[in-house]
Amino acid sequence: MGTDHAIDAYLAGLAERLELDAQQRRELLDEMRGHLQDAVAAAQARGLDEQTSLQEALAAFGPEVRIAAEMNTVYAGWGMTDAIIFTALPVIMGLLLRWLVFAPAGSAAGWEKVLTSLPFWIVALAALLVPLLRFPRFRFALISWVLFWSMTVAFVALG
Amino acid sequence: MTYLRKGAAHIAILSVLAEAPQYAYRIIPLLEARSEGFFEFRQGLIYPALHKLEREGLIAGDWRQEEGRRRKYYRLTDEGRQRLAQEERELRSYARALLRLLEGGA
Repeated sequence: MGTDHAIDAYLAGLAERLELDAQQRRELLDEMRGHLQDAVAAAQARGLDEQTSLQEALAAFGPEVRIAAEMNTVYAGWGMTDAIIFTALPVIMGLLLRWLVFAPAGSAAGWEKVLTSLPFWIVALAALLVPLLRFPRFRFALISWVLFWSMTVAFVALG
Repeated sequence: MTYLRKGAAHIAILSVLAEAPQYAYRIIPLLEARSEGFFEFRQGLIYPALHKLEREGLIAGDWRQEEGRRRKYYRLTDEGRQRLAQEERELRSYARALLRLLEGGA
């Protein structure tokens, strides 16, 4: 296996474990690829053969499981503001829909009419866009949106 | 040789970048050389440290093309420079106090 293929195989193993968005992942892997290529070239310049240089470079770089875990910790860290938005937003938006858009009693009667209501679409869109723009990973925004809909349905059904 | 603890590693990286922008592969030997080989760095683990500092706004990265490779050079931001100065003051004061304690107990 050539050096580049072996480096790519190592990085693929690391990439599988990364929970980063596409751009972060691509940039990180570019950085690491250059690093490993430099390390192999430096070892070869010291007189080592290609295979030994590669083994030395990968060993010095460290286990991909540990590196990926540390990277995930760096990018998964939420600030207090993010945590508040993530938990409070679906609740606030659900309450807004219940009291401002649906019937004042919060009943599900005539719910079809809300589909033509502008305030309904503004609230629904805000519930998606705010977390989408705020959180680095889109799946958190989708989870927040699903929570919002679940609460809305629950409010109406229980109302 | 001793592996640097996370907090100390961040200060060490900031101190290296205070001199000149560098890319990860070049930062590691500089760290080891400055500690005269006392500290060792597992190379791949410099990336979580660098990206954490970047996310905190203490360093910033710029991509450059050189020797046929794209390299991300990291430089200290103004905030990073202030943080480094603050950490350095605190560390020196801590070390002085600890040494006084040890010398007093000898």
